[in-house]
Amino acid sequence: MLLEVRDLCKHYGGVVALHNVCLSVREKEIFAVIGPNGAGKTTLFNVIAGAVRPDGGRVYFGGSDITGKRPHQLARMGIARTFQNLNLFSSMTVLDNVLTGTPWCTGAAFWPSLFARSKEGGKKGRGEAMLVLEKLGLLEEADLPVGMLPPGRQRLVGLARALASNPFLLLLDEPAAGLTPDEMGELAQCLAGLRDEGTTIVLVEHNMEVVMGLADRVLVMDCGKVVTCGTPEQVSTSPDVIRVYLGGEECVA
Amino acid sequence: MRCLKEWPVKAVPAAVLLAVPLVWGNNYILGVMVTVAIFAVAAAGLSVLMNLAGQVSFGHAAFMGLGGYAAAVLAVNYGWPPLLALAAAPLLPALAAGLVGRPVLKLREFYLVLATLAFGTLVHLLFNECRAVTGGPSGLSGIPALKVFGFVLSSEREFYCLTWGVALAVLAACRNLRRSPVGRALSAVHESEEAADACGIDTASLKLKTFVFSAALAGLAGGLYAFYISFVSPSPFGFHASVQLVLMAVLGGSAAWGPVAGAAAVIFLSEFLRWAAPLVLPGAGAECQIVVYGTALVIITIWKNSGVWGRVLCRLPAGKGGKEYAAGSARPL
Repeated sequence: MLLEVRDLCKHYGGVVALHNVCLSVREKEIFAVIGPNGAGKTTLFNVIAGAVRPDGGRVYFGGSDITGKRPHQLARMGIARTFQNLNLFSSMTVLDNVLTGTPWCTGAAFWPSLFARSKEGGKKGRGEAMLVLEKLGLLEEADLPVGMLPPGRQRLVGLARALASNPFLLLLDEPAAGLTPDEMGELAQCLAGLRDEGTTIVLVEHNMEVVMGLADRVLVMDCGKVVTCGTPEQVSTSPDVIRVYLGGEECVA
Repeated sequence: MRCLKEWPVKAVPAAVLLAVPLVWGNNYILGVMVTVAIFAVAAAGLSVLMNLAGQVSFGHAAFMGLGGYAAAVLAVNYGWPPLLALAAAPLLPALAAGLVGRPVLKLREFYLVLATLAFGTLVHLLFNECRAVTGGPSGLSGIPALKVFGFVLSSEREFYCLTWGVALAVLAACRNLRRSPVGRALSAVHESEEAADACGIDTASLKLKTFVFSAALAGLAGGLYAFYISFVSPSPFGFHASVQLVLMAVLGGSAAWGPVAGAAAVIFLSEFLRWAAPLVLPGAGAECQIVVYGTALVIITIWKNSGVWGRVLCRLPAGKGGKEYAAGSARPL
């Protein structure tokens, strides 16, 4: 198991966002978390990504406990994330955005950089960033300001920035939000390619079609609890899931 | 190779410009230029903090004061050799910034402004009240002349060479930082701390180091100031000076020469106001200057421009400075 979540609990005031959530993600699979609004998907995502501290439970990555670690520590351990609202560095070019994610930038020491003029490290970082851009087909846009790209391409830049750290585990927050069907297909292809190259992907998603066509396993959540977990086929025929999506029951706190 | 070809284009006019006051300047002009160099050192640090990392400090005059007092006390009360006292001047403000920075830098925007303002006011109060160490409002006098390897600096001309030498070295260091991967990480922090953190940048530690660095430069400027005036008192290190420093950093923008341009603009304006204000308002003193600075700051903040210097460079045919600027940031605040 690459990622294991055990008995995760989180509440905001009286609202239960997560209640004893357990899951385990195998290496080299695409694992999707779905559920209706308010199911606790985003909270779960944020706890795994280190942005929110859980009230209880633990998160293990490759066997070591990563509960409560800061996002930059997770990034250095090989867990990268994207944002639903992209959160790109909007004044920078595409290449600069991706460069910022490379170890060349994130691991640079402060004080020596006051005295160094050499740019050799820059070449190395640039090379790494260019490789990622090439993989995602963004080479031609490398020197454009990131704000000039259409939303679908911007989402790829977000993905490229996350990939720049060569992560083992990629966390994607609603990667298909705001994409056209064409762009969605392109993204799905790209994610499948990444998995085949050995990257494990966990994604939180609203769009059922994307998930069913792409994920190896799906976890369905409702009211902060796990409803079921299985292959897309198993999940889509499960009576519990149909009840969650069509029943419209209110959460009972 | 490109750099080799380009550097004389900038360096030669700069060297000529710097040589002009040395050859033709009287003591008044040299004195003003020394002040510009001293403030440029402090503004360079603040510019890295504000324009690059996007963290505002309205208390930087306090760090300048801590450096000035550290140099003065070490040289006067402890009899340290002046050059050693000057070299030690940045340490006290750096230490203070390290202690204060961790809690203060968790704040953002207006709260950060208020916290740094409060820090500056508090330290200014300490300068006035800790009479045993600082001499209170009447200050510390009798700071010995600066001696560099047995050579005593006494004239304006000699101070001009020293302060501009230091200022150029500091500008070079800041430029190195800007162009380094750390500079990129800092502008990422400026744009989105959340995203920078997710990229693997230790934002808290990076902000703290930048704060310490900028405080140390302010302290170095304070030390130079103490030896130049050979007297320190609390009054030059109050809120007024903090606003001046912010104005210098904002006016200068992110260009490598920005801090010098910003410092020159503010110091020249201040000299002009000292002459012009009493003509308009009889009996007007330094307090009227803050009205002008405040207005200038408001106007610039509203424009959110790239700094006066950045704009000028943008309009030049090469436009290289402007590009370099754009990699920094468009938001002074």
